[in-house]
Amino acid sequence: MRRIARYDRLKALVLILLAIFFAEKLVSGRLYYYIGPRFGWLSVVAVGLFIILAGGYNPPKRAEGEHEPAEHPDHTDDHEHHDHDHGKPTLWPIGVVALPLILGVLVPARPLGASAVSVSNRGVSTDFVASAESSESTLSVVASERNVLDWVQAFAANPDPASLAGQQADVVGFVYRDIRFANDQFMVARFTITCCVADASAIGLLVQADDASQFASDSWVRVAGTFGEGQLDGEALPVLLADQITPVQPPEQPYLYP
Amino acid sequence: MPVSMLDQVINFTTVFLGIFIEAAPFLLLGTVASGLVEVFVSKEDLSRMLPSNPVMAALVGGVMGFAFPVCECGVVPLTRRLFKKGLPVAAGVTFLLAAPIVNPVVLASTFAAYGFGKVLIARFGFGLLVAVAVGLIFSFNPSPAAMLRLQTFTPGEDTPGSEAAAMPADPLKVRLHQAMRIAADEFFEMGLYLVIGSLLAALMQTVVPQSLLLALGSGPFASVVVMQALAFVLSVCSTVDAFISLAFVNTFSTGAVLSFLIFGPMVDIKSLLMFTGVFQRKFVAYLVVLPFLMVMLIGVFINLNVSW
Repeated sequence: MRRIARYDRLKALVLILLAIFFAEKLVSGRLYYYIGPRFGWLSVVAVGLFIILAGGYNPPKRAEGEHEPAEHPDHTDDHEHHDHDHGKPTLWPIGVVALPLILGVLVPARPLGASAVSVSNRGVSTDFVASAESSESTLSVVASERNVLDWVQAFAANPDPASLAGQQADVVGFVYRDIRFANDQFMVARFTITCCVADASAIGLLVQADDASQFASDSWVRVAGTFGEGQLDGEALPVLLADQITPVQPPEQPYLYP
Repeated sequence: MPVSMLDQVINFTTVFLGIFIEAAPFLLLGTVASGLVEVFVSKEDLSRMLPSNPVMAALVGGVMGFAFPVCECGVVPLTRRLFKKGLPVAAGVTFLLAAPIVNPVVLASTFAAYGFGKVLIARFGFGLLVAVAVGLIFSFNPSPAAMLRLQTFTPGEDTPGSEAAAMPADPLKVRLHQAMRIAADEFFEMGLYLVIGSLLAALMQTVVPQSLLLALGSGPFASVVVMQALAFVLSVCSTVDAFISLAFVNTFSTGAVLSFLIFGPMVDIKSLLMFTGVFQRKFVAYLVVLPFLMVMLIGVFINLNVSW
């Protein structure tokens, strides 16, 4: 009994810490390193439920003279004993449930960037398949306001490398390079996610500039320039001829949401 | 670009926490539902409500999905609780497989992604069909109790929540407290599988390139299998998978996208691990293989015979 009660307190502690963990992610905005903003309310629900469940380990308050429900005689019957022998009130499952906390504290929180492109081996797509509706809504976005995703969709809607030529763009993203890129090229890339980072995929625009090599891979930049026709590894693509590239802080919402 | 070990650990952690943060609220809702069922629904109530005929029981199990807005994380603890309350195996297995598809939240998200049309109707119709079929197959087992691992209920969970402890005479406050206590214990029990499943899913995603899977997936047969494999590996919640499947609509056949939408909610890495907490190993295998084959047949049939 005493052993189980001790684990009760530990479980209550883990639940409270999980509530704090979710609340901290919500308040700091780092929740959106992990999930899309339209699911933020679910984490609010989680904070509340973690606290309510932790309350389940609080011994119930009863009027004096009444016995506690935990003292019911069926505690000692054979069936319970059998359960106890093979039962799971061991420490390690609680440790596994606490693993998100441990990793969340020990490993620095960082949104997916260029290194994740290489790790997942997915590559950065210059093409984005979207439902017809979202492509239409993209084309209604004023050109100067378009982000990386809008431009990639605009190109997908009219896949002619010359279709964007002459248009001015001003976009923010992280620098991505692989072996296909020339010295004066990189890609300004973003991850798009639908629900959480588990479904992240990278998209990007080819950038060309004389000073391109000055910007480190995975650093965040703002690129302003004009589209022209270019080539990457033999494939004709629109290329953003940069007038100005400035290093910037990662945006609060690091991902784009199709 | 070479990727440092540290970068890999950080990215892996980000994907893992992404899956966990997205799934944990649903598991919490499922365990709370399970705790409330334990305290407020008696075995007698349940047996009075349920038909003894396996076919009817399976249909009831499918329809029950509409009443519980749970996804594949929340449905497992709830089903286990209902089994403990004496739910027939046919109804329970059907409920387990159908509820993550046939529920109001998934209906709404599928409608938001696809509108009212063939995808919506086929997802719910075929999803229910497969769930009922698997439930019936399970009901042929002569000793249904042997399939379940009910003895794994922990004492901490059994004791305060057992019928003796939760007498209807207890004041509502005490019973609610007991329900929360049961839910909390169950969160730890099922959370174990959720965390390990999320770790595996994150690992698979950082090791198996998605582009490789997608490159394999052309043709009426291969595309279906690839989308089923993808649904298994991604392990995304059934309440949002409709939005994710949109990204594949133009590259994959309708049959393949539908098999993603029907198989994914029934079986994925994390729900597979949670099944092992409810069923004996052998029956977990049936629970994975039967839906896989049935959904595959449906997907291939649609690809070959229906010009959508």
